[in-house]
Amino acid sequence: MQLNYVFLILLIIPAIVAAFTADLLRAAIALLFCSLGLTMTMFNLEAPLAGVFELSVCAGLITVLFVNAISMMPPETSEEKSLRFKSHHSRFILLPILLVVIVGAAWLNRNYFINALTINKIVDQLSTGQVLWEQRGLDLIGQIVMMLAGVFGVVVLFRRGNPHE
Amino acid sequence: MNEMFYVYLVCSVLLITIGLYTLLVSRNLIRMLIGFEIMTKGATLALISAGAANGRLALSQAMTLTVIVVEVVFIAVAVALVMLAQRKNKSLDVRKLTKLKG
Repeated sequence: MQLNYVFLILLIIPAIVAAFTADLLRAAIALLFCSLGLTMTMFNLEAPLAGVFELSVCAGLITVLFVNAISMMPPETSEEKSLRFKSHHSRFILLPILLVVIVGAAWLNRNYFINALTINKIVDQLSTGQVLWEQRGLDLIGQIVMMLAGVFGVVVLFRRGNPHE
Repeated sequence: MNEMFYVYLVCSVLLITIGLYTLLVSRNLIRMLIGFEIMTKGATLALISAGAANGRLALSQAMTLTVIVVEVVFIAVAVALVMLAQRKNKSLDVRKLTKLKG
């Protein structure tokens, strides 16, 4: 079996586990393994910069955020547990239908996708650094604004409130 | 590469479907965020594989970095909002967020 398929299996299976496991902490850990699978796929596709970014930010920072949030939550009450398990099985009906529709549409249009992407195939002479710092303009400003908005959002949401209010 | 590109495309569609399904059927706010994360991973895989198929890997890597930055900002703010909602409503269930009604 080719290594590509092994990495894709390592990507898909943790995603399924993250979606279907009942325990939130297990779901967060499965998401970490999903990020690892994506990182290996990126390295396999010769995109090491995106791979390192995915590994450090998605597998590292986002997992820490999720685990931190889950650890601060109180344990599930018996009422919440009973509600979760009551509707547990009926939830699975939607997935196969949705999957068949989307994969069927992708399969029917496969030639369009492949031709659209490969008809004008060129070998990019630029490095990622050149694309990042020399070719981008307005989207870089948008990205900086987005990061600042995130920082201010977290600061405002976590500000220490007045205890007498 | 063309055949392999199609496999990557199907896998990214699969990931987006799993994430969308989680987002649709979950009632837990953190699980909904996890579903969004899975969807983003599918989109990232599609970006990178399209870049590799088309020969514009540098551009797709730059776009992937942008996607990851936006993703982490979204998750940080969303986790903060979820924690505030939990403190107010004593629950992570979206069905109990009734105070949002106008």
